[in-house]
Amino acid sequence: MSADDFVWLVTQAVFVAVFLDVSVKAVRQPRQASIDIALFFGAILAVIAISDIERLTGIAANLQTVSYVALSALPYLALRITDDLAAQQPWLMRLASGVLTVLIVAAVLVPQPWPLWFQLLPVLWFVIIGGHVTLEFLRRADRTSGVTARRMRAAAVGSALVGLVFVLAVVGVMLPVTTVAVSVLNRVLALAAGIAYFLAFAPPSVLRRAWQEPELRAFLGRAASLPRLPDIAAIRKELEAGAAAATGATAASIGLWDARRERLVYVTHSGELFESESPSLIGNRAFNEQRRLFSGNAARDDPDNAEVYRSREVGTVLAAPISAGDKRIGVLTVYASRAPIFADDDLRLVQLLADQAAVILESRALIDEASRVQAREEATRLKDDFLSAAAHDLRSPLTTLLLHAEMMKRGISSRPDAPPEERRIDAIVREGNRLKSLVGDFLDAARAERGNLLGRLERVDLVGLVRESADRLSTTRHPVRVEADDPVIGQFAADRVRQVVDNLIENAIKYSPDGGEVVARVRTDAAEGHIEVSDAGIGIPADDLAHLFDRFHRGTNVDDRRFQGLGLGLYICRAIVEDHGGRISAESTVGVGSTFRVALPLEPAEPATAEVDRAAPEPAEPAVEGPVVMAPDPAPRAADA
Amino acid sequence: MHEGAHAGNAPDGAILVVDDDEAILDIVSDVLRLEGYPVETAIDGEAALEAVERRRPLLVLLDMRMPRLDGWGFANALRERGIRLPILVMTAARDAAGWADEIGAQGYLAKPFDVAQLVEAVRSQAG
Repeated sequence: MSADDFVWLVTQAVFVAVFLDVSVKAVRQPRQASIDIALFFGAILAVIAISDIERLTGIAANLQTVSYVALSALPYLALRITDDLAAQQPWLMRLASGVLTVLIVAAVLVPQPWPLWFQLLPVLWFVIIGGHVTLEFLRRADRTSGVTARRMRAAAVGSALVGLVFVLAVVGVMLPVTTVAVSVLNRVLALAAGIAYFLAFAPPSVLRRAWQEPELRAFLGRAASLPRLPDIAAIRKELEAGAAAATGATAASIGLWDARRERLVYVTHSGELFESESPSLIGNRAFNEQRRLFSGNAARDDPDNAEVYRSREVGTVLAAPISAGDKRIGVLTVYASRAPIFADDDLRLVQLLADQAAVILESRALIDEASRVQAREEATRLKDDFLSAAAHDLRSPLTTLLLHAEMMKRGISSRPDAPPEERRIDAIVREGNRLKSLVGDFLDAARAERGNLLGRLERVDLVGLVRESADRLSTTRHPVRVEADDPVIGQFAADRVRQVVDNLIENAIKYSPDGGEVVARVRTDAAEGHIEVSDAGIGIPADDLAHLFDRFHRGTNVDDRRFQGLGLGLYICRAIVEDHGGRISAESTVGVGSTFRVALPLEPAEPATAEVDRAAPEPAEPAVEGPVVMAPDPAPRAADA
Repeated sequence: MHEGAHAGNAPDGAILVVDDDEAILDIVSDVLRLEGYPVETAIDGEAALEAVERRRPLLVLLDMRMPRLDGWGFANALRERGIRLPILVMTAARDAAGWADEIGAQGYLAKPFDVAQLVEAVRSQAG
C-alpha cells in the first residue's frame, strides 16, 4: 500500500469515527443541531464511499447520481449547522435549499454522461458556502470563549480545509495530466479536515477539559477574593460575569433564595431585583428539583416567559442549583442565543461554577455573620462603657452633695440653735445643678444616638442668635466679640443651635485661663451659614484633636478644675450640626489657641425633622488647612446606633 | 462625734487628698479636718507628687481618673522613687477594689461614700 493510500485510509477512518460519534449523539439527544451534524457527516461518508466503490469496481452509472446528490447536500447541511449555532439570514437559508432542490432535480433529469461544468456545479457551490460557513464559525468563536470558542475554531478550520479539498479536486480535473503531488496534497488536506471536524464535533474528554482549563483557572483565581467584595450584589455580579465568560454564554444570572419570603430573587441585566415564582422558569425548576437542567428551546420549555426569551433572543438555558450540603442557596442560570451543540460539557461546567459560587456565597455569609457578632459585641461594650462612664460622672457630685448634707445634719443635731451653714447649702445647690446638667447631657447623647435631637425647624437669624449668646456669656476677663454683617437666615432648630454656640463660647472661655478675647464670626455663602469661634487659649494637642467630637473624651492637658463630665458637650454639638446636615471641625495649636468651625445648610436637605440615620454616616470630609485640623470621625458615633 | 479626738497627738504627716474634682477636695478635707487630721490637697497626680516631695504624708486618698497624671501614674512614680506610702483608692469607677489591687493600695473608698465610711477607712490606716 502506498503512502497515498494509507493517508486516504486514515482519513476515511477519521470521518467514520466522527460520523459514528455524532450519530450516537443524535440518537441519544435528537436535537436539531445533533441531527444536522450527523446528516452532514453521513453525506461526506456517502461521497467518499461512492468514490471508493467507483475506484475499486469501475462501476459509475447510477451511483454517480447518489454521489452528486450527497455532494450537493453538503453546503446546505453545513449552513444548517451554522444556523443551529447562530441564526442565519432567512434569505440565505431559502437560497441554499432552493439551490439544493435545483441540483437534485437536475441530477435526476440531466442525461449522463454529464458535461464537466455540470459535474463541477455542487463543488463550486460548496466552495462559496464553505467560505461563508468558515467565516461564520470564526465570528461565533470570537464572541464566545472556552471550549465552545475552541470547538468553533476547529469547525472553521475543518470547513476551510474541506473547501480547499474541493478547490484542489477541481484544479486536478482541469489540469491536462493528473499530478501525483496534487492528489497526495489533497488527501493530506482531507485528513486534516477530518481531524479538525473530529476535534470540533467529537473531541475526547481529555481535550475538552484542557480547553476548559484557562477560563476555569481565571475564574477560580478570582474566586478567593470575591467573598471580600463590599456586598452581595458585587459578588453576584462578579460570579455572573465569571460564569458567562467561563461557559462562553452571552449572559449568566444568579437567583438567591430568600428564606423569609420563600422565593428566588434574581437581578435583571439593568440591575433591578426581580422575583419570580413562575414554576416553569428554568432556574426555578433547577432549584426546586435540585438538579441541573438544560433547555435547547427556552421559549418552548418555559412558555410563561416565552416573550422575555424572544425579546432577548435567548434560545438555550442551562441552570444548576447552588447548594452547600443541605443548604439551598440559589441557582445559577446561563443563557445563550442558540442551542449550543455542546450542551453536555457546558452543563457539567455550569454545575462546577455553581458549586464554586456556593463556596463563595457561604464564605461571604460567614464573614457577614462574624462582623454582625463583632458589631453586636462592640455595641454592647460601648453601652457598658457609656453606662459606666455616666455612673462615674454622677457619683462624684453625688458624693459631695451627700457628704455636705450629712455634715449639715450633724451640725443641726449637735447645735440646734445655730444658723444653717450657708456654704453647705450653696454646695448642695451647686452639686445638684451639676447632676441636673449631667443628666441633661446623657439624655441628649441618647437622643443623638437615635437621631431625634432636633425637633421642629424654624426661621432663625444666626447673627442674632450668636450676638445674644455672646452678650450673655461675655465678661470683662473674657470679652466675646462678634464679627458679622448682614443677617444669616435659614431653617434651624434654634435652641439646639444656641446650645452649640454656647458650648463653643463657653469652651473658648474655659480654655483661656489667663483671660483673653473670644471672637465669634458669622457669615454665609449661597447654601450655608458659617459660624467660627476662636480663642487665644491653651490649645488642643493633636492626639486629643483627633477624638474631640467622640463620645467619651476629655482632654489630657485639661487643667481646669471646673471642667466636668464625660466630655459629651462637643459630641452633642457634632450631633446637632450633623443632624442639620452640616459639618463641624476644629483647628488648634497648643499655646496659641483654637478655632471651631460650624457650617449649617440654610435649607434642610430633608423636609420636616431632618432625621439622620446614624448607622450610615456620610464620610467626614477631611478639612486640611492650618496647623492641625480635625474633622470628626463618624465611626464611634455610628458603632452602636 | 469624734471631733478633736486626735488633736492632742497629731501625727507628723498630713492626709493627702488627691482628686480632680475641687468640690470633693473641699468636702473630704473639711470632714477630715473636723476629725482632727491635718490635710493637704492636690488636683492631680503631678500636684500630688510635688506635695509628697515637700512633706511625706501619713496617708494618700487617691482618685484614679485624673488629667495630666492619673492614679496609676502617681503610684508608678512613687514606686520608681522608692517611696512607700499607704494609699486608699477613692474612685467613682465600678471596679474600685480591682484598681486598688492594681496599684498595691491598702484599701479603697467607692464613691459615693458617707462620713462614717470615710472616717473609718482613714482611721484604719492612719490611726
